[in-house]
Amino acid sequence: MKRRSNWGGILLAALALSIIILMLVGILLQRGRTGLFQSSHYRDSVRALQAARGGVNHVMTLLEENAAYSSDLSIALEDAEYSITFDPGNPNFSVNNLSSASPSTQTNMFGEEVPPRSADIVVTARSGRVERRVHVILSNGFSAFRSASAVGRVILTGDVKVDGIKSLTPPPGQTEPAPAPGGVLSKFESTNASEPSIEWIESGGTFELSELSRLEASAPSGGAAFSSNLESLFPDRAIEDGASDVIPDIDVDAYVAGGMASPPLAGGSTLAGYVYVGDSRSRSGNVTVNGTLSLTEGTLYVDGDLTVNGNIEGTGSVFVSGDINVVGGNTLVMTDRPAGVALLAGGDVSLQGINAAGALQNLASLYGFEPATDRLFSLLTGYQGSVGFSWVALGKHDGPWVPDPPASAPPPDNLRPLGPAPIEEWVNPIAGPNGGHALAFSNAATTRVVLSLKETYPAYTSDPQALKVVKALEDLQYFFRSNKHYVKHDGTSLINQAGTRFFDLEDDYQLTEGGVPIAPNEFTPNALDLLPPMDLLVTDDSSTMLDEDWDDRGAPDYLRTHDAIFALLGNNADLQNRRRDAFFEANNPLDANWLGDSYFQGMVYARGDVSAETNFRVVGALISLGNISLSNGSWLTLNEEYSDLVGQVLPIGLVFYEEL
Amino acid sequence: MKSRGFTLGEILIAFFVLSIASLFLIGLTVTNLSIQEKGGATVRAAQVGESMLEDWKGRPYGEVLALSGQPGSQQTVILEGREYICTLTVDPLQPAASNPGSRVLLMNMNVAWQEQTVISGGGTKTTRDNSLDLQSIMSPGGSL
Repeated sequence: MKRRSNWGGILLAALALSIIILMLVGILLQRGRTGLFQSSHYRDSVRALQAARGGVNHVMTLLEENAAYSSDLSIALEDAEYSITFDPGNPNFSVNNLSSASPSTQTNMFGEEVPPRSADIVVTARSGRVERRVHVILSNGFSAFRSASAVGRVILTGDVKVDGIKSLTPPPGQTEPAPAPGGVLSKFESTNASEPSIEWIESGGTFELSELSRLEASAPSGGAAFSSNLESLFPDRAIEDGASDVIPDIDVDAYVAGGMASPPLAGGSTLAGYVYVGDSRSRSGNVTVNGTLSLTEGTLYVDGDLTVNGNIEGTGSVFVSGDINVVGGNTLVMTDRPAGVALLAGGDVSLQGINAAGALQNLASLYGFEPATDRLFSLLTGYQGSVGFSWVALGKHDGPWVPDPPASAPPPDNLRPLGPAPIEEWVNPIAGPNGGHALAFSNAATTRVVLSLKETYPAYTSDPQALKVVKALEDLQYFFRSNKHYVKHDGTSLINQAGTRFFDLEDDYQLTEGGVPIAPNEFTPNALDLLPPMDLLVTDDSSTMLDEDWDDRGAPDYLRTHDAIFALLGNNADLQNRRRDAFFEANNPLDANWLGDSYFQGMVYARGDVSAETNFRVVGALISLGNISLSNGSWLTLNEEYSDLVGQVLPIGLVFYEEL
Repeated sequence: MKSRGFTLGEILIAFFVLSIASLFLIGLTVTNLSIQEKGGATVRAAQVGESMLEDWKGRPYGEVLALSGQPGSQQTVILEGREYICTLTVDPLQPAASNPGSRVLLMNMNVAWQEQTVISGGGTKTTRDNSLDLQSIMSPGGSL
């Protein structure tokens, strides 16, 4: 029998073994190749992303150099390249709308309009076979936008309130502004537990942090991010190591140097009253404004220090190479007119509020008056004995004032000096309807009173009490100018302090809104807010005035009588004194509740420290490369609409980022 | 029927073939492991480099600018037992036409590490130098 051969089986086994070996080889080779591909892909991906993000940084600088920049950009790095194109024919195109105050006509690559003062940028980067795209929106302003941001420490004392709003204007149908995240940021890396990055010294006060707001601090380096009381109060909203945003380093000196070519600001180093800046102005040396610095899309450059004993209002920017000191501030927040000022200081910024109610209270205590019933005039009269000014001087008149004029004195020359010297100037130079020169707390007249007081008693700046009186008067002037409290004539609706109507009582006693006389029956002024025409209020016909109420005299509805005025006129003093008293009393019966916090609307940027004290409320933001300290009642309300406050002046910041 | 087994020669040939195949497979596995190790090290180097770049981009512009034209700032990071030496060099971005005032800086982060290779048989260890470069851009107004 022929023996069967086993070579076939052996061959099959060898083949099977070979196949298995080849499969193993294939798997191993594939794994190696995949691993190699994955690692090199990852490396290239990182390279491409870094290049794309670098492209964003690059174009930010180009846009800062030239806000209208729209040239295509293509840069080759060692292992990657990035490109930006503004050609709408390219699928990944960018749109620069930085220079425009309105949305772009050219939509972005997604078909969306680009917001005002913004650039919609797409950066495409490649490394190897990897492509990464980054889409960002750049805008003039800050990326880190909080109520208060400091590179150094943030120290808060006493009553503190931190919140944020989207805009001062409430949404349609709402009475309150829409809330937004506010917050406090400190990039200080505390090395000492007794010096936390953000500290609240209670001093019997309370700390209110709105629900959306956060406290963020850098991770401490051996110290503490927050004082223990803050950690206890806000365990979920005090975020350690949450300060990743960069606080921009603005070269304020460079801006000041560049702005010194602007026309000079008129006047001397000390300016009084309203100082209007409606374009670009410059001043070399220190400037003091005793009154109001009013900006209308204006820019002021000061190569020195700026001191404002009053308020800063309007819209615009102030660049100061040295320090900025604001004593007083606005009395009220303006809601319906453009308001928002950017203050940028190469040095420190100090905001000192005045507690006007407290000041009057102090005055009252000092001279033994009763705030609830005594008149500011009385207070001032008592005060004049110690500081030396006279009411005659307030009117810029020569000659002694005769307190009891003869009955034949021509009406209604209140404050008119009846001595032998000739009259040089009326306090109110505009003749009233009856040919007289009555006083009222109209805008201009109050300004004159304040300025006269200052001129008569120049030392008021070094006399704390006199300064307070001046401030109180200035507040009164501002209050009157703003006229915040109104009850509509039909009594159905109230326009409160967040109201949106502003009225001026002109020198000729016309009540106007935006320069246009309002209908006489549109509003009934609430007590003490608006004066009726002074020729009706103070008249030489004392029998008529003393015997009748305002309504009884057939005055129009909007001139309804006020008890305070009637009571005033019902006293037994001589007519001259009654007239004199009237214009103070009717406006300010020492019920100073409406005099309260001091306000600043806008953004404050300081390369040095920022401090605010005495009931100072900032509606906007505080940004400091140094420390921020707030004391004696501080209220920081971030206003998101101020992120675009200064247009193209501030560095371009990132407001949106995504990887496509 | 009595079946015939494998002859010694056949077995020896089979062992020889299997040995060759095994050696090939072992060699391939070692190579594969080496490739994977190198890939892993590259990934970690890229992560380290990216992290270091981000750290530098978070610093003040002036601090980075001070490195411009200098030999470079060196830091060592040890990750999973391996040492990565990170060297940052800074130069103005080129071309100058796209860099007004030479304020835009090119940051190059070089990450270098050593790879050890064991030569089978003798057990000899050799080291091989590896490096990886990452570039990014920094601008005065802050960096993304």
